[in-house]
Amino acid sequence: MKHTFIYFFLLLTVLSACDRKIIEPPIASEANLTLRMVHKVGVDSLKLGEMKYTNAAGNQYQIDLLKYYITNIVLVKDDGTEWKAENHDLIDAEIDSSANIYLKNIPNGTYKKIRFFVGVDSIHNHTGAQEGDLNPIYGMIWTWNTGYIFFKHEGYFKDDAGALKPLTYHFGTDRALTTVEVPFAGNELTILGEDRKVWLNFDLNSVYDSPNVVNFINNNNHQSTSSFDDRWIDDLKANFADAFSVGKLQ
Amino acid sequence: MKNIFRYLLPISLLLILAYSCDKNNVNPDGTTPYDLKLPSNMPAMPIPADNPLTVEGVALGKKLFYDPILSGDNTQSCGSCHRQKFAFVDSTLRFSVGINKIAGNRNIMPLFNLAWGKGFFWDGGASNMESQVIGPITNPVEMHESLVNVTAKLKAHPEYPSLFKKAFGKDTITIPLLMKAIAQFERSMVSANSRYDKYVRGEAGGTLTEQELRGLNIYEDHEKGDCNHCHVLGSTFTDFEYRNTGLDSIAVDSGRAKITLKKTDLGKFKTPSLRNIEFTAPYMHDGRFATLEECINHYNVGFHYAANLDGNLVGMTKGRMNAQDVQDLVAFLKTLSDYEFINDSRFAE
Repeated sequence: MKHTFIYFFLLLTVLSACDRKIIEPPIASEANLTLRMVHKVGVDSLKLGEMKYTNAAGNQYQIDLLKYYITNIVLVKDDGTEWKAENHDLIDAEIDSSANIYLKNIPNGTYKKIRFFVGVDSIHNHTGAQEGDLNPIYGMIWTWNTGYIFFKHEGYFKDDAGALKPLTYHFGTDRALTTVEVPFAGNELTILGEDRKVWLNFDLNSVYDSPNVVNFINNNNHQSTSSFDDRWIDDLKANFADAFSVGKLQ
Repeated sequence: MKNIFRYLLPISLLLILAYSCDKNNVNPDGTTPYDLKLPSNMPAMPIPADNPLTVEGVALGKKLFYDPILSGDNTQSCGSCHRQKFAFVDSTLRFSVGINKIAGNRNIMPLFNLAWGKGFFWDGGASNMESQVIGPITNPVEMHESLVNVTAKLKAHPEYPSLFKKAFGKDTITIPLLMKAIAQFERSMVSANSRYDKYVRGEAGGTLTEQELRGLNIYEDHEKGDCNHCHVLGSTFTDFEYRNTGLDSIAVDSGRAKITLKKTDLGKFKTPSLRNIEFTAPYMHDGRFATLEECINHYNVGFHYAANLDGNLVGMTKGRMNAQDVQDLVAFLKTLSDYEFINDSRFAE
């Protein structure tokens, strides 16, 4: 009796193994997406510490530090439904690995655009004891006035006389929270059980060109700490809209 | 043999009971809930869900609070300036001096009953207690240390890795955990055992003299002290609001406006608690008054008609209180001194 059972189970095992060979592996219902930030200044790729860029106002400038938050990524399907990541990613131009944003378990579908905040939503922006990329150790928080610096550009530029002047742009406060929406254009992003990768271009010159031309001369120190910064915040906020574009899809 | 079985049931019941009692005193992550024992005249303490008070967390916070490792040259701890015997102020200085021998520009704030607070620092710039912690550590005129260095020093320390593990159940030391630990210790610092508290609760030692009772009446009297509007009588002795009390005709320090960027907040500062006020001289955000008499005289006759002067002061008659009233009010304010708090070993270095 005992032996009969064992043979029966063996037979079942063999049968199921055969079964598996015949049927194609099922397509997963979801996949992961890596978003790769690509930093540009106009048509050039961004290199830190080189006085080789010119903004729309004609200021020659260099970037010594560029850090910013991309958070709450939303992928919008062709039928208008949305997938939300609730991520908080800090991108630091100096740290290559920080340019990868990993989005996990995205349901299969055709996505037509990506939406995100440049900045940190007001709930997360009003407390500092947060782990991950919001950890205050990354120097993207104001310690005397709880809130994150959404975008930080530090470096130098040349004034009209050719003299080197420091540039300090610390963009933040709830007023500065910026929604950016980028279409995948002709290249709709289809997710069908296999991991994908999207290259997202960020052009720093675009932050200073349209619709508002930002001239660094006599305008080189904004830290979002006074009401005098409000106009500058609003200008940059509007400019961020077209600073991002989808590049390669893989 | 039968005898053994006879005892087995009661013994096992007892064991189960003992075990379940034990379980009630331990959180799932192995930490032990901290028993606050709040006096009856204090409201329930608001505690954030992501940072409950634990015995281990409070102990770690206390160790960090008194450890100069948090400063740039390892010479100053939080407790170097926040001294228990003065209800955690510096006492003599208008402006405390940091590790680089540079003085700040606002008077140190006392530390007690902070759990009920809404914004921290004189201007409410830190939105919660956890967020407040990194201000003094990184401020160049205070402890002047980077958060990167603090983390590295704590990780290399012989005791902190295991203390963080005990407090938070994780094999890691991070700035957010440091912020949480110190906030836990600070929340545990409850002061509610002054003579006035005992008077309110009808406890032994809770008697007020005739003069002190006269002072209490002046405190509440709208025609006299009218302190009660903002320094709400009873538990916290503050309304947690920001007000311009007319210290200057034109505010020297923009105060709350530095945070909100609103003109209407120019020269506004947080209403401080009046508990332990006897210990916390000098007074006001810039420590301009050395005595309680000077403070009361400011509200009695001295206040300026600043653009944002608080509504409670706008129509106030000057000279409402006579010299005797002022003395009586001072006498009452001194009944808010909590000697048990400034001698409590749980908060001592």
